[in-house]
Amino acid sequence: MQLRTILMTAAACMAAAGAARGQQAVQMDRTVDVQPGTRLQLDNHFGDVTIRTWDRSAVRVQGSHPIGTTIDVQSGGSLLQIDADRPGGPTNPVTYTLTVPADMPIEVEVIQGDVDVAGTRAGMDIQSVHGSITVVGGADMVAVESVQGMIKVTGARGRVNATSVNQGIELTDIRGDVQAEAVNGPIHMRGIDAGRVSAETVNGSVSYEGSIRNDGWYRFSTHNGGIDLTIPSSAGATFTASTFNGTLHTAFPVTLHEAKEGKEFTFTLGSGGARIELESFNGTMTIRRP
Amino acid sequence: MNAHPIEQLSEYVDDELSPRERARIQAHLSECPQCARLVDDLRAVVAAAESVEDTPPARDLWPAIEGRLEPRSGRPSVVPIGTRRGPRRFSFSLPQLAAASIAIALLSAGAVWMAIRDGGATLGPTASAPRSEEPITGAVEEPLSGAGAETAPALTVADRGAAVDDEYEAAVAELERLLDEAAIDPELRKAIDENLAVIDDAIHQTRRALEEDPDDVYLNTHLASTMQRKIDVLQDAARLARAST
Repeated sequence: MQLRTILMTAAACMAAAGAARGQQAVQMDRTVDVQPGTRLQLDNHFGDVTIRTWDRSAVRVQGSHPIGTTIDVQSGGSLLQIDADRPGGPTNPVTYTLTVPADMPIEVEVIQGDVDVAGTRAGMDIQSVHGSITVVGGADMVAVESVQGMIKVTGARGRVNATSVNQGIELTDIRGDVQAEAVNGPIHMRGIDAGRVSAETVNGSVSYEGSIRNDGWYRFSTHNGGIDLTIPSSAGATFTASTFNGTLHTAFPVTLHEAKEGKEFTFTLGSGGARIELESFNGTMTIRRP
Repeated sequence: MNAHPIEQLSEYVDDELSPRERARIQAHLSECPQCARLVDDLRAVVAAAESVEDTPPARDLWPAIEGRLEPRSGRPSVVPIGTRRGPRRFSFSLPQLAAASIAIALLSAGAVWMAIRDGGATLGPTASAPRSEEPITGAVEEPLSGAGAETAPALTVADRGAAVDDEYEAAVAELERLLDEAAIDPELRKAIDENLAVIDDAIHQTRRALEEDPDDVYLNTHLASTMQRKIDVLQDAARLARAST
């Protein structure tokens, strides 16, 4: 398909921008029709991004940017690309509010700014170097990554990969496998229905409340922090808990086998089908039932 | 549960156990997630090592990595698979397994070096890395199993793993140097440094624990995964530094 470039400059809006050139934000608002299956790709150096959904086969782009900045919306084939040309420098903020088809896959990269997505039923890949990421919805593969920002994902129906270096991760009401990694922040998971879960942080606590499938595999690890695991009463699993300076507590009676006194514990519940591994170098590992 | 049959795991992966021993190991693996994960790691290391050698990286990438993996004896670090494999193809002690998995991470780190260099930064030598006399550019001209390899002594991944500590530090230093050269936001750099310090502290604590109990399964795998985490963070930071400039 012929590449169609729609160039939306701030010039059309300058009259509304007022006399405070370079100071006042310009508003732009444009709607672009898209074919089913089109993927959205947005790069934003500096500024927040908000994405909502509707039932139309079109993408509405609302932007707020300084005078002189140009927002490019390029539609070609199965890709819709949005980027901004910032003659004033990369730190000129551009704030986006997009309305997209609910089944439109999304890729967003932000250097500095928060990303807020809600209502999608598609996969997404969202990165923010310096900003929080909040997602409600999503399907297939929901990949979110932030260096310096909190990550919250709620209601995803598919695999979730969440990575945050310097903040925490909160995953709620997820139906799909989970991989969560942090360095300096906690990982909290609630309402998870997954066959494979892996959550690792270095400095922070880890908590999990969710299903334990008989053929599932669940791994929770931290260096400095506790692990709090809430599992169904009917869960059948083989547990291995390892520590160096920490302890293990179970809120119900189990027949504990200490493979290594005070440092490595194993026990089995019910059928023992699921594999559950807990590792905390310095923290307390707690297993409870609802 | 019986004691962890660490010494037999690599033989198990290599399918070199008697049927009776194999059955015993399988029974242990069915009830020991830690050993099952070690077997998974072993297989991943073997697969990654074979993949690396079957698909040579471009010459401009390889010298820096090869230099880091080359044994101090000066022997060629890469030999054809056919000549390298002996009756026991991969034999690991537990610390070697940990080191070998980090070695694979270092190979992965090489991709970042190449990406950074392609973006304009230069790749210089580090204190412990042999200096390449040739520019690190250009296409592959010959396979990695170059002249002299046919007669070289066999080297295994474990051989590389045994020397990986110094190489790990060199890789970390190189990635940190690239970060220093990048025009990264000072506040973000501060956050990255703080997180690296958190990881370093965890590594230090785990090393001290290993001094008391060098064969502990958890401590060895924990050390390996924490060291890999540091490489991951540095890789991400270097990639993002490039993206933000």
